Amino acid sequence: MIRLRNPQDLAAGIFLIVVAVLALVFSTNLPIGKLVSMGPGYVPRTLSWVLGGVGVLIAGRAFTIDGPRLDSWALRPLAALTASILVFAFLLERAGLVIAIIITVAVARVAAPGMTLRQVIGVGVVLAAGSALLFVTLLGLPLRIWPEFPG
Amino acid sequence: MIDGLFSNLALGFSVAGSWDNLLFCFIGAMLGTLIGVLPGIGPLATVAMLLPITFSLPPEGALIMLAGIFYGAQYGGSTTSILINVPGESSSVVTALDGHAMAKQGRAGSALAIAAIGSFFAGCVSTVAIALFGPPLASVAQKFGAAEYFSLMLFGLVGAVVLASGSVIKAVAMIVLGLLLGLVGLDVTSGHGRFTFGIPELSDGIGFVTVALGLFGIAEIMTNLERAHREGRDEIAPVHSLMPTRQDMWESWPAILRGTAVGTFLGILPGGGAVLASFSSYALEKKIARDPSRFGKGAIEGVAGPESANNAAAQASFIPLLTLGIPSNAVMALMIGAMMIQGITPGPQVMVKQPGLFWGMIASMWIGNLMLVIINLPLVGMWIRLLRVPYEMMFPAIIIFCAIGIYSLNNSTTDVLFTAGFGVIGYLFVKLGFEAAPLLLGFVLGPLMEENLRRAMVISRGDPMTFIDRPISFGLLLASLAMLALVIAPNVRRKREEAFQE
Repeated sequence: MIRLRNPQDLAAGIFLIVVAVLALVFSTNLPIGKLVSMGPGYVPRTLSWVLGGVGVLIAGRAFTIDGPRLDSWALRPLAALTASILVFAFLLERAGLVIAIIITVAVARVAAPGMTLRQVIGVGVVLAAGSALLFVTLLGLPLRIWPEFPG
Repeated sequence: MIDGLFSNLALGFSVAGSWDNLLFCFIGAMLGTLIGVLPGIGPLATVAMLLPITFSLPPEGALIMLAGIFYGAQYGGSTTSILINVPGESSSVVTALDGHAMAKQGRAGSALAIAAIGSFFAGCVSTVAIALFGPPLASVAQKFGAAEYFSLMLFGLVGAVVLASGSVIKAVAMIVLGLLLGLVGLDVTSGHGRFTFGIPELSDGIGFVTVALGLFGIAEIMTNLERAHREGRDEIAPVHSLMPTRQDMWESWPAILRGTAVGTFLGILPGGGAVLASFSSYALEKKIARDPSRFGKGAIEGVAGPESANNAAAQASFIPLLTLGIPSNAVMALMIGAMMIQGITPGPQVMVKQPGLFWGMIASMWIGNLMLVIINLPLVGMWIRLLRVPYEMMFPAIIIFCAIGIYSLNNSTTDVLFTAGFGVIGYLFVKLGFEAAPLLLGFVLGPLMEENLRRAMVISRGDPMTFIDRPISFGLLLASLAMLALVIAPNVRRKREEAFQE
């Protein structure tokens, strides 16, 4: 009877195998060359095979050695945190540093509730002012502070 | 040789002692402590987060500041683990055992002071060690050809796997994945785009800072938020007096000496570094103590030894970096990345071509350690106040600094998006039980290894025996094999697991 003893390792192994297969697929058009004059595909393809092999070993081990179960994902912080960075990237060049920071703080709050609305605004304003002073005035980074108004 | 040592160190101190560089060192140490003291953020994440602010500085200033950040972060991490028992990273786990126990007994000040004194002493010794061993190692390395370099890097990677604290095979997986990631971009020899998916930003390869900041900075915040949610907040132990008692000093100094020796030795090894050193030193102290049962209940040797060892190792791991151009752990991989961004190719030629940079950096390590003792102990009250700021208000600030830093590298929002992506990948790694540090090592070494492998094959006309025919290369390969055989051997494996469990 085969019994799954280590779900975490099985998932890890499958992840590696998937990455290895993708890497092999996306390197098919790269010339491999010979040992004496290696093409651009030689090392990537070799590494992909090794990665896949390691993945198979880890997945196989999941049936022989006991190990941890799959941990649950804290989707809320994950999604909110990622979203806050994306929002920042989207707003920085369009709306300027100040607006981008305040909205980023507001989105980040979703990841770990705890701040009141007033605190969100407070933290946002302090961070915006501080960053503008530190990064733009003192360090001279070419960041836009305010949105550009037409006219 | 001793004359050379003094003139070299004198040159170093004249570089590091300039007002500009003293200021950079000071700012670095302060910022490093400031971020490093935050619960759950270790030196690796701290260096990754603060890396971008050093880019606009001249090379000497940037590297001096980074070294300051690194020591500051380590010191900050020890402070946190002593005061609130939340080690920022694995090298302070050990400090938390007895350090926090001391804090609960009202001896937090003593623990903090001993940690600082031990670190400073270890820093002094390992600075001299670098100055002594650096030049001979570099002169050996200058005779290295492509085959030797390839074998050396392989040796380094094997070392990282063997000495990693988690599963061996998973560390191998991370290294291979890192090597692959490092190959993304235009192939220098043929001009083919590899894994670029038609994205122009990828033709230069994936940004080093993007990977580091995503995997260590952003992912770290995610796991911290998750943990804080599950476990709630911790008490901060009060600090009364910062003067260690005479008895504490008396009990500490032998442990400091032993820790320094252990740390300096382990720091030089590939894959070694602060974590291994502090674990080994703790195990050693416990083994030779007259009454081992005191450990875990506030034994000062359990703070003095590991703290000295981790600082000595942190510093000694600069030896392979500066002389061979090989990072022995992930923090050193970050330093290599920083050097490359500054246009410096790490390796033995740095010492010869840019002696001011090389010796300046070494001197600044000593200065940085001194600054930490002088500045940080009195500032401990400020760090405590910082620890009282709720994490919910702290993490948006960290996110924003990371994002601004990464954006300002190339003024590119794509980089910010990639960082967010690597943050998610880093979180996935945590959930799958992968340690991301070996990946960073592979990522940095990937392109270098490929280049040297290709060159070695061209020189030997495609004969792989060249790696065995050349004695240095053969020796390194044998050593790698021996290390691998050691971990696979069952009884060593058991010992290794025990060592990491303690």
